[in-house]
Amino acid sequence: MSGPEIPERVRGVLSTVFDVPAHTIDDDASMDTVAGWDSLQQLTVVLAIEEEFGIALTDDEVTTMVTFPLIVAVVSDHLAA
Amino acid sequence: MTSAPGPRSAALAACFAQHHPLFKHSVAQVASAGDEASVALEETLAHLCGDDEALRAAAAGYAAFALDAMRRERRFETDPSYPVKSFAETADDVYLDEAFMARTYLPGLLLSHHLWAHQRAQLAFFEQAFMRRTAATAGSAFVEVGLGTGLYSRRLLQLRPDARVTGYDISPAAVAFARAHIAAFGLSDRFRAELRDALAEPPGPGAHLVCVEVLEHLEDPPALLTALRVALAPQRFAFITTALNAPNVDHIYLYRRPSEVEAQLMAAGFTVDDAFAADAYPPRRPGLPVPSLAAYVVH
Repeated sequence: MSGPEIPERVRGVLSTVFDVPAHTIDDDASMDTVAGWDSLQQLTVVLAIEEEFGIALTDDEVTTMVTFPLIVAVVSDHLAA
Repeated sequence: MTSAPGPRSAALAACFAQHHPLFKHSVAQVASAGDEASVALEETLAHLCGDDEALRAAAAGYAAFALDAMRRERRFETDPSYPVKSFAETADDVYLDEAFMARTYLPGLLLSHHLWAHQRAQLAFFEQAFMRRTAATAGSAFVEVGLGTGLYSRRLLQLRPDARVTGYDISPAAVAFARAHIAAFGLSDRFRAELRDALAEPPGPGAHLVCVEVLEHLEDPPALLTALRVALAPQRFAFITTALNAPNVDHIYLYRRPSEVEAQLMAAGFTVDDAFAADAYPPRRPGLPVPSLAAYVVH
C-alpha cells in the first residue's frame, strides 16, 4: 500500500465513526479536538481501524493512538512489518 | 463543582498523559465530580502511591484493567453472555496468579473505585446508607467477605473508630494487598485479614457483613447468600452488591437486571432496607447493554 493512502483511509474511518465530513478531520485531529472522541469511543475507532486495515492493535497502541498522526503512524508500522 | 487535583492526583494525570493518553482526562473527570471525589482519590494515592514508581505501576495496572474491560464490554454488546468458565478455572487464571493480581488486577480495581463514577456512587451509598444503619446498632464487629483491595474495609475503619473488621479472600495477593492498604492508613490494629473461602467456612454470628462485587464471581451465588443470611444475627445488617452486564476476566454469573439480585436476596431470607443501582455510562445506542452496579443494605 502506498503511503499517502493510509492517512486518507484513516480519515475516512474517523469520519465514519464520528459521523462528520472527512474534511473536518484535519491532520491535527485528536481526542482533544473531535467531539465525542472519548475513551469509550476509542474502542470504536480501534475496532474500525483493525477492520479497515486487517491488523490487530496491541493494548499499548490502543492507549496511545489518540491523535490522527499517531493512528497513521501505528497503522503504517503494522503494514510495513 | 470542579476542584484542583492534589499533588499525587496531578502526578497520576501526568503519568496517564505521558504513558496512557487514552486515560489522560480521567483525573480531571474526578475533579469535576467535586471535592469529595478529589479528596478520596488524593488520599488513596498519597497513602498507597507515594513514590513515582508506585504511581506508574498503578497507572499501568489501571490502563490494562480498564482496557480489558472495555474490549469485553464492546464484545458483550453483540454477544451478551459471559464465557462459560468454572470458579476453579477462574481462581487458577486470576485469583491465584499473584503477579497478575498484584500488578494489574488489584491496582486497576482500586483506581476504578475512584475513577469510575458509578463506583464512586456505590461507595457513597455504602458510606451513607449502610454506615447509618449499622451506627444505630450496638454491634461494632464487621466481616468483609471478598476483601479485594480492602477499600471498603478501610473506609469502614476510617468512618467508625470503634469498628473491628475481619476480611476474607481466597486470593493470597488480595489478602496481602488489603493488609498493606490498611497498614498504610495506620488502621491495622482493628483489622485482620484471613485467607478463607466464605462458602466453605462462613462467618460466625454477631458481625455486620460486607460483600462487595463477589456474587458475579461465583457459579452459585444463592449458596453464598444463604450462608451469609444464616450468619447474620438479629440487629445486624449486611451490605451486598454485584455487577450486572459487566463482562470481566473473572465474572462468571451473569445478572442482567437488579430484580434478579433482589429475588435471590429474598429467597435467601433477607429483607431489603435500602437499594442502589447505577450504570457505568449511557448506552452507545438505545437498547445496548451497559455495565452497572446494584447494591443493597439488608437484614
